Amino acid sequence: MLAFEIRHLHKTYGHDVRANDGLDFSIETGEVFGILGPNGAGKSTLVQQMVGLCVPTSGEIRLQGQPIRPHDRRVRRLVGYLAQRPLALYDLRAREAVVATGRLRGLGRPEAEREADALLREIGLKDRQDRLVGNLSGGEHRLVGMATALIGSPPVLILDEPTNELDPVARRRVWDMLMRRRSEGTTIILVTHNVLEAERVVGRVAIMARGRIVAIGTPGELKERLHAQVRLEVALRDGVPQAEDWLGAGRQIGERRWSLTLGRDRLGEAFRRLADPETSAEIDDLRIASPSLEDVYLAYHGEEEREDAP
Amino acid sequence: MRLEGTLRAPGTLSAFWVLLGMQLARARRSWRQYIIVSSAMPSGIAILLRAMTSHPGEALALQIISGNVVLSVAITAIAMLAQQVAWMRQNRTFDYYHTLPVPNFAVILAILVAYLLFALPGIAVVLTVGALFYGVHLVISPGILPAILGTGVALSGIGALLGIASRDGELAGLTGNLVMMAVLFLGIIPSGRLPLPLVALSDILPSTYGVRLLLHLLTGQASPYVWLVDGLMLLFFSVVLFFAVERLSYRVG
Repeated sequence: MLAFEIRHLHKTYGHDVRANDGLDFSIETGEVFGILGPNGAGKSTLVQQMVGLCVPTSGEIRLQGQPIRPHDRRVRRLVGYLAQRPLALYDLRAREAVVATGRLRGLGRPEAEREADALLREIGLKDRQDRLVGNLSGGEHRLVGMATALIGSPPVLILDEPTNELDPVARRRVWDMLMRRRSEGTTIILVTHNVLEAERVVGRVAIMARGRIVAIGTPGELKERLHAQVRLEVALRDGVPQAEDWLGAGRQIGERRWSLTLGRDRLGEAFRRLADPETSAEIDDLRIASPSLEDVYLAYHGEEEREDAP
Repeated sequence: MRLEGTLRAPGTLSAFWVLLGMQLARARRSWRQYIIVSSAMPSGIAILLRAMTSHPGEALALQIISGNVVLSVAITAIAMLAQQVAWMRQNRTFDYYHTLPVPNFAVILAILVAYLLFALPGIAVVLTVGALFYGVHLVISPGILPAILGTGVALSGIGALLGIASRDGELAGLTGNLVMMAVLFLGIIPSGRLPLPLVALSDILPSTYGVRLLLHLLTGQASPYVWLVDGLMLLFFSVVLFFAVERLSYRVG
């Protein structure tokens, strides 16, 4: 059964800002669906329409076969939503915010308290539960928002940048939580920039650019499109002032770490350069891998930028 | 696989209590501000006017006290609430409520009632100061509560509408203060002493009916006729403004 069907969706602001430009896709129940794309690609506008926070200019969104209408209480019952903006319940304690949200989802007080305690423990906020939300750090604030989206176990979760502002430990915890929800059959729609981490949980991905979907499929299918390429990751030793030109043409992914996506036919040439005694003396670490989802994302993003260029 | 949403939604009343509790939590940080702001200015004005008039008659004294009680409500319900609502819209706080299965009107009512409750300490201070400085006997009857409730909801409706219409908190604060000044002047000055255009303006402000009803209640002379006219006008303003706020605050783009 389809959780969401999006048909010919257009959303225009003013006369000419096309936030969503003819979107057509569907999401299966129980699927973890990722929406990737650069800033301004129209991802948040899309999910805001999916939760009824704004209405399409034209086209239709269906949830479990029924069209979504403004103020649709069915959507509110079924969907747990984490907005991109921070949760504004500054004057409530973290636990109170989660319990109150649970009660507003129809849980009785004891049930809401029990679920809130379990969620705060799972998300690693139990020792901060009595702090006012307004006094929490940005990451902790985000985690409280995450707990409010999850309480009441809604069958559909729409999470807009769930790991923003989180440290690596908290990020791992969030992805683990989402994997558990996935195994329970929850439909999860993720909007994220964190492509590498999202790859752990998503079943299918849509890559958006300038309001359109430029690619959609499983990570495997999308990566298959780059099958003629390999990713070369090179880390330089301490003290090496700068990468050689051919390496510098790649993408810098760390202080002394570069990633190059090459055609397989150019791999031999790359090895010859790397085998040069002078070059190899500068190299601390070398990895060859198949393209990741991030490479796919960057490849599409690069194409869009080239199209934009005058 | 979870196919159907079997989730519950809270009953309207229980949702309202939870929402009211969430709104009242604001007092944790700001209770001093609410008490000081809602009591200092109206009490100060009442004391100032007493100092400037050597022998105010009982009628004028009661007009001043009633006017300042309504001003106390107006400070939180108009000036402070307008800023709060503008801030909530700017920060998209309504989105949080809009994605939960609670009736929109329960959210709005909780916000309005919370701000009305924040005005209560100020009202008590103004009544006490008024009775002491003007030496008048005030009849404190149970009817005062619905009168203040009606005035408060109607004025909160104005405050919330100003907040919705303003592009930011600063503009909301400015317009809120202007309307509050209108409430102050038109509430304290008896309508017989006002020029005609201002009488017409006072007729469209719910505070006018609130002051009049309070005036009658504080003297123990609130007849059924007074309730019928002023009480019904307050009810009318409350209902109209409440639904206007409910509709506009949940506008979707």
